[in-house]
Amino acid sequence: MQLGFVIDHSKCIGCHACTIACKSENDVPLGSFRTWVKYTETGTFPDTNRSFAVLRCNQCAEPPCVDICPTRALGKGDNGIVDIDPAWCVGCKSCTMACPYDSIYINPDKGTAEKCHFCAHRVEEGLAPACAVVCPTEAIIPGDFDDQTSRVHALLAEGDLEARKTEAQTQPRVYYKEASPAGLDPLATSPKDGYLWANRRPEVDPETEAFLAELMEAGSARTTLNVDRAVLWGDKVSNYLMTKSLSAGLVLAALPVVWSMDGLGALSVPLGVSLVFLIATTLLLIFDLKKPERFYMLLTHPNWDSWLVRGGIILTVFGALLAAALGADLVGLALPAKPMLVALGVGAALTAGYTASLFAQAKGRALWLQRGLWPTLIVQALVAGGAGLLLLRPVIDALALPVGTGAVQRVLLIGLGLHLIWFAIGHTLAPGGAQSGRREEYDRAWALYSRGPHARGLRLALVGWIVAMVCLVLGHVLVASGSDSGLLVVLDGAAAVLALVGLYRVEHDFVRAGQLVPIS
Amino acid sequence: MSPKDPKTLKTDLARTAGWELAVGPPPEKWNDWTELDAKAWPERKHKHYRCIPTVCFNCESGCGLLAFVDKSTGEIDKFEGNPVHPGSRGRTCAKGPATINQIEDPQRILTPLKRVGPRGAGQFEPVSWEDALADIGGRIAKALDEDRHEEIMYHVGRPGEDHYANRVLGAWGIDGHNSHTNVCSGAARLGYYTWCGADRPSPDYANAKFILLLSAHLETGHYFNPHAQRIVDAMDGGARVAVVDPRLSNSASRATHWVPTWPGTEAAMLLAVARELIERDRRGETGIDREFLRRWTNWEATLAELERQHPDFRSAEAEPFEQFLDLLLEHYKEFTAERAASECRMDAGIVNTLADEIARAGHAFTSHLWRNAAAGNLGGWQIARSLVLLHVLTGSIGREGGLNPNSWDKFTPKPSDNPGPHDRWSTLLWPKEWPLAHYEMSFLLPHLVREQEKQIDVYFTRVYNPVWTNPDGCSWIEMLEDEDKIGCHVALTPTWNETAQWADYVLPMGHGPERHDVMSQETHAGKWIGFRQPVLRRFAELEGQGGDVQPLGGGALDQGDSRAANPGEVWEEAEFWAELTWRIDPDGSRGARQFFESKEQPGTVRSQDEYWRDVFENGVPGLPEAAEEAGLEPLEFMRQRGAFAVPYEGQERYEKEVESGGVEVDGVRRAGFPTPSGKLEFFSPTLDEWSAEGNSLPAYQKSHVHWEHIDEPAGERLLLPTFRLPTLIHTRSANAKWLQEISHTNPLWVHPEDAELLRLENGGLVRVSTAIGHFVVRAWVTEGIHPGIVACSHHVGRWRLHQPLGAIQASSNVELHRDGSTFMLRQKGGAGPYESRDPDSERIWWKEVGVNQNLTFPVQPDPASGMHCWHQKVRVTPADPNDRYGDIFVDTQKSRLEYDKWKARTKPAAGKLRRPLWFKRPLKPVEAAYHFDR
Repeated sequence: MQLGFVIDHSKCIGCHACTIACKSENDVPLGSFRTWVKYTETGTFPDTNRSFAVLRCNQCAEPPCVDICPTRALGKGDNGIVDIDPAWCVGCKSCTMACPYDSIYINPDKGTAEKCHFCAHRVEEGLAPACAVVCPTEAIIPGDFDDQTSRVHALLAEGDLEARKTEAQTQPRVYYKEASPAGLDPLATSPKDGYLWANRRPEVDPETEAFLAELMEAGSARTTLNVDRAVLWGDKVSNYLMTKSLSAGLVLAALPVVWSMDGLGALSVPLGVSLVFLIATTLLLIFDLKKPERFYMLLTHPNWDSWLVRGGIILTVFGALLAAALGADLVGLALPAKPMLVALGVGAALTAGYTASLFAQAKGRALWLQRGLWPTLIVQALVAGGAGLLLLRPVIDALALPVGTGAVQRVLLIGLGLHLIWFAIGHTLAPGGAQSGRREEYDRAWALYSRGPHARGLRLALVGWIVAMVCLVLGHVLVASGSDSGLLVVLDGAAAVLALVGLYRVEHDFVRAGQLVPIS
Repeated sequence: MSPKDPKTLKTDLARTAGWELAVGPPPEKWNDWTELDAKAWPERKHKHYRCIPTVCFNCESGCGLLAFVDKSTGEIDKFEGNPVHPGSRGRTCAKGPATINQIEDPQRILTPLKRVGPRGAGQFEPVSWEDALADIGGRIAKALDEDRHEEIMYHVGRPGEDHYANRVLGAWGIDGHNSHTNVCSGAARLGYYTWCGADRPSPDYANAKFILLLSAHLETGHYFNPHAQRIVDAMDGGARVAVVDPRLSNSASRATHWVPTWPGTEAAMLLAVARELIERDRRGETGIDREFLRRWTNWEATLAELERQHPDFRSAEAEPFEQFLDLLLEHYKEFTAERAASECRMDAGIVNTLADEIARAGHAFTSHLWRNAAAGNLGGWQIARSLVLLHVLTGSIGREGGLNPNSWDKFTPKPSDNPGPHDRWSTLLWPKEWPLAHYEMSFLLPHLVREQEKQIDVYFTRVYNPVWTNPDGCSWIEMLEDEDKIGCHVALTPTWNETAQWADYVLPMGHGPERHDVMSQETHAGKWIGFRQPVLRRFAELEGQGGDVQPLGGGALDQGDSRAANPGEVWEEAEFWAELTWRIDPDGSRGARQFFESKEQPGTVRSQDEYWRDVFENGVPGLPEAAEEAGLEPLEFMRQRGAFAVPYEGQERYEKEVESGGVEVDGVRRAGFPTPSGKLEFFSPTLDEWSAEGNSLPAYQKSHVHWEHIDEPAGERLLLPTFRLPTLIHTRSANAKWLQEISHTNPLWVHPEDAELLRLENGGLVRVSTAIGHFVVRAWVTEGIHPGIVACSHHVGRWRLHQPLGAIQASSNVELHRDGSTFMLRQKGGAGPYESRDPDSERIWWKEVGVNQNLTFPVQPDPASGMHCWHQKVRVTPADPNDRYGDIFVDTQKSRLEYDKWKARTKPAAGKLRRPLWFKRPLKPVEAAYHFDR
């Protein structure tokens, strides 16, 4: 059984009755919508036209929101309905990132995710969804696509139905009859010129919209009414990326330096600091949840397919390794150095890189589907770790630990270099594989990220990286010449600070820009 | 789906099938309807509801609602459509389910309030109903004692009921009914009425093949939801639709043809289509229905008039009817497609396109004009005359798929005892300058009171907000604050509005689902009544809570009426009026009390049950039989179903053979039309006698905003201020948070060419200057508007002077600066979050809530119809540096001059009568009252 809708835009009059009936039936708060009507306009007077598109959850056959949900709060029922059990929702918002259709919101009172669930509570009683009952023109046709006698099946069989963003491979089960392309395709239209009878939301960034509109063909459609969206993964998420890069990077960057040494003692300071950042990472993750008190549910009710859970395991294991290494050092227990280093290295690499898989599950955001994100994140960790080690040098020196400065400089230099290459070729890294159809969406997002109205900071940061690299080369020359002067401290310190500031920008903007390209 | 109407049942079931049957619960399950609690889901928590039918009170469509009352809490959870309502068929627009917002509105007024401090200062304190009744009743009684009947006035917006208030005024014997019609539909009404004796069209959309809308019935208007259903049904079956509107409405965007014309020139286009059809006929092609034209119009009288107007024309035809057609072509010969194109500033091909569509549709051609062009323009009523001409020519009047007179498709039930006609004539309502007005010259009241040096001792406003809605609202403020002009202003309103700020009493009346009324509207070729009932009162009765609701007797006020069930002390008007009448006529000596006195228990107030029992048992044909079949009393039938399909007499009713009356056609006496001639009046003797030269035949009159009068290079434009938004409804929907969230601003639509010429930026501030002031609004540059025209919706722009006295989610808080006759309103803040029992009120994210442009419009009464001609000639400029969003400036001295100018255009009644006797008017007096010399 696969329930879904056919929305017949040959009949829709754009009246919003469905929106309001849904709000009434499901107690949807102001600011949030389970279904809404988008207006788009095309053409020049008098050949102007306005079209409506009724947008909502697609009850996907392959729902990415279900894959990413860490606690199995989201699931697909036998009847094909994708539904959320609020009792298990931790408010991580990842489903809102996974949905390519902007169909999930967080209830501000409850802190849990909500969406159109096809009025599952009504369907169970044999009743049609509220939107279908109210629709004055019967443009909303609910039904079972697997039932060959159903109206929706017949309409689908007639052909000429469309669905939203099928290239996301979600297999949407809301089909549209005679919908305007601009209504269904967020890339075909821009809201920048405002709405015909509503304010824009305060969160809207006009510069971003103007930039994105520039990327469109002249004479493209215009969005004249829609629901504006806020950025849901904010600073806590970009900070989490940063602390995680530092935690993993301090280990990764130190590894080549200490590989040849016996024992782990040389690593105690970086490992200790790494652990601190790992704890910070975990705390950021927890407090980014709208229901942080439910954090434990990731462990008690896990979805093993979700990279939030897998990531949680990775962080836990990495944390355990760090604790073990530090603990052993503290009590003077000698762990086998090489295996331990390998384990720590693997743990750190997984810690650094797993977010790429999480991003890949966030199918709503084409930017994050970029190819090669795993190595990129590891390189980011190297940058963070290299810079961290350089900054830790006074401590390391004070403890007289044998961590070679030159080696750290090389790690950071390589990291920065690799990352600059990534930046230079980023436009070629559009999603591959099953998501390769999302090139255009990716291109817009990459353009916004790399040269959009807020990319100035990012580009300055990259210039800072080049300066940092110069500093590192100079410092390296100093180290090679055996000079351990104050100048070296300044050069290394400057390089490290520039590297970290730049990295923050790189990561923060990546998280933010990924969410700024409209997806509905 | 009443048992009496198996056809409806069958039709409805055929619309959907199987589990997809997307309709509400069937009536037999309404007493115990079970649903799973959406809030508890996925926990399976069953909710038991009583479903109680009532009627929506947002727009005037009268759609059936079904209230879902939670049996465990006794509260209304939600509203759906009433599936057995023949008009709305279980479906509603956005405003139907939003009714719950209005019921739960945290800002609604729950107790009667009395002004303390100066009028308009915003200070009120609670007062008991008893004290309010005693004071108001005492004033009215005194006025009646002193023969100051004219000083009592009830002023209503769209009443949402058909007879009760008139019954009250009739019982009091006053000519005191004032309406809103002349800011709404007065112009179109005159056009329709003078043709056929019915003042509204009732299109048979469902069966039409071509639908010509001078309206936006796929999104708003009378009767949006029921009409949209049927228009879309017809489109689904292949019907084609043309929408005439200078603005790309939602309806226009769905139409086969969007016809953007220069406002006010529509008659030129329609007459060109008529000429084209006649010409095709003269060429021997299909064009017109000659038999219909010959049989059902007063063509002989028309021929005589045509001959008078064209003395030199000689037809080659021998037959008078053929001569008539030739003369007709001669009369309209100037209306070529090219002339229409240049006059209407539209594509020349449109005339032929429309003629083709109409010819193809034949009798199945329907149309609608209600406000739109008719309401905007000087001579707008002639647009309606010209539109009906197309139906007359094609014989698509009263035919399947054609245009019915509304009187066929609407039914107004009455109780068995009714007050007779009064014998008064209020010149504040019916001044002699506008003898053909449909209806009262309501929006001129401040000018008429001033000019006639009159006083209104007790002035009721009900669902009427003239300060905000009417043109020249500042003149209303001046009148309302003057205690020498308005002795006592009683605002009967469930929510705050601009006008209520100047009230002496604010009395909270129930929302739609909190009172009794009967509604009937001409939604299709059929006839129905809908019964509005106070849902919670009905629930209490059914649940046996508080026992039977007993009527109040003889003025003994207790909480035994609808106030017992309604929130706070909210009452319903029907009971209020009965009690007030009791105060006015305590011993029955005035003859008023009898109409509100129980027949079952003389000496006590007639209960709502007794009243409606009488109406349904004696006033609705077929209802007693249907009820009996269902095993119910008629009242109980209506309480259970909420609606009834009144047996329909079918179309082509004019053909019905009659014994007496009617009109003789080809030797047979037939029902005909309720006009003086019994036929469709092509030539209108009434217009000939009572209005200016040239008005007697359908004609094109250049509007006051014709492009010739607009100096476009100098920055003048036509302002189209009349369009509605699909989710809102005038002054009524500010208290619905969900509706406000979707639509809350009214930017000025400007064509890109105009934006460039006028140096306007999209989103930038614009100053729009009228004859009496200006307002400041944002520009919205769009390809969806005819160049030369700017448009601004009147559905938003609410304001409040005193912080909590107005819907915070929908209004701006303004400060008002006065200097002599000038008014300056400046916004201190827009909508925003506020604390209340509803957590949503803290989530209000929108700020700008539009501008009340109507304040800056002078009154512009059409000299014939009396309708306010809404469109404005304005000057559009970028805002001054000191202008701020929402600024409004008005000089009422200038308003008075504008009023004088427009009055000078009238042709006052000069004979013995004040108004044609056959013309409709509310609360029609005895014939003697029509005579000047009485």
